[in-house]
Amino acid sequence: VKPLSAGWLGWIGRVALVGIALLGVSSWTNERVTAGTKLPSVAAPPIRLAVANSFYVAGMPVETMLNVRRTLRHGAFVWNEEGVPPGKISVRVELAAQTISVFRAGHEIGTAIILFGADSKPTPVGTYFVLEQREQHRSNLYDADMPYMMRLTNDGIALHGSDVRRGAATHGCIGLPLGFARRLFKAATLGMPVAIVADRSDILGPASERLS
Amino acid sequence: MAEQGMQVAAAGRPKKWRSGNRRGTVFRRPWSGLVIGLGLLPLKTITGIAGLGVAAAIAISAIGDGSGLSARAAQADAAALLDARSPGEREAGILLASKPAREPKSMIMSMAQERENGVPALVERALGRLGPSASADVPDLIPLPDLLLDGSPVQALASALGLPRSGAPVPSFAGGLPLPGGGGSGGGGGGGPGSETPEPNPPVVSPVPEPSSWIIMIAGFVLVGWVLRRGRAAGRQPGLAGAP
Repeated sequence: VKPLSAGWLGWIGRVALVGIALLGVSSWTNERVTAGTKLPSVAAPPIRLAVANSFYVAGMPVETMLNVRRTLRHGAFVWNEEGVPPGKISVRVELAAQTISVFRAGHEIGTAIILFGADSKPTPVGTYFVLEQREQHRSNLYDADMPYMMRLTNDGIALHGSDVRRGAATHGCIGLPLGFARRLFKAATLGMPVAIVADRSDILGPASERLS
Repeated sequence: MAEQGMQVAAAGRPKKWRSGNRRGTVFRRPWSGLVIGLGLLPLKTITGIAGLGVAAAIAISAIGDGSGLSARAAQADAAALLDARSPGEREAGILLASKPAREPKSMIMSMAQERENGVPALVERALGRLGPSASADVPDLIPLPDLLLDGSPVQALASALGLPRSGAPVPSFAGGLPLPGGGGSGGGGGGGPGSETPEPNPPVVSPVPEPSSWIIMIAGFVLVGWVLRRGRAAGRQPGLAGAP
């Protein structure tokens, strides 16, 4: 009796099995790269985590923050509004961490890695409000395109889309990844508060510590 | 505050993280690798052994995935969340680098650039041609009479080049490689209308194949060898590849 594996059928089967195994390996490596893909049967990691700290962005309390769980590269961003009720939008920019966080009704809906002012042209720290929004703007100061411009001060500080990459800096503006800038521009309104902080001094400890 | 936060968190997952999820679904279970390995065992060839190794790797990965999930906290420190995503502080010494000088793309001009500029390339590729270049092969353009009126430009060209009317190969425009002699009918084809104006710069085909071609060729040799061995072991005439 000839075994099944002797003929061409066996060959096809062997090749198919090896192919399946290779597929498995590739999916395994893919899994390692994109940490976060999980089986539906396993509980998915939460998008947001409740924040133990009690801290405020532009006077509004922060309740949850996005559970990013990995270091974002320059130019990368996360935007997720799922389950977040409509509400007021506020923005927190932390220069030391090179991050921006967009909150709606106290829940973080977007975060990105940003560029900020070079050492010779530092970004001023403080809370500002969006004065002007222009989707297509060309800087008359620097003769450069600034898509999705959200002006913060009258002397040329703004949030705008730019080519965010490692080792780059701006003339004082906050440079956002283009896709992120587009989303933020859509979500933003005139008067939206933007808190630019240098460090974490605005994030206080857990609520219990703060009460004492 | 916290309860509301967890409700929001349980609402769903970001689409961004879902990529590449379905394809590997089967292989996420620890036992899936074992099943594949057992399936490969009766094949009693190298594939079976290799398959076992691969399957073991899959099984190990699946186990690792399962254990990595369990550690999760309900509440998190905001600073820790920021730390997890931040690339850290910016490098010191960035003064004004909004538009850093880009490195020159390449010192070597591409062929297209060269044709555009009309400037000969400074660098010539090694191993670019085997034989003498086409410009040396093909005689210079002869001022031809108005051939199109004749109705048979090919024959007219052949006679103008001093070649017999049929059979002998007309020097083709890609004539970098010296062809083995003869080829009567092929020569007739080569003398088609395309060769009226030989290209001044024929596309260079590197004689050294790409690595992928090497891999395919070596794999082919392995396959042929394996089939021949198989035929010999079965006491048959080697050569009929794989005939059962």
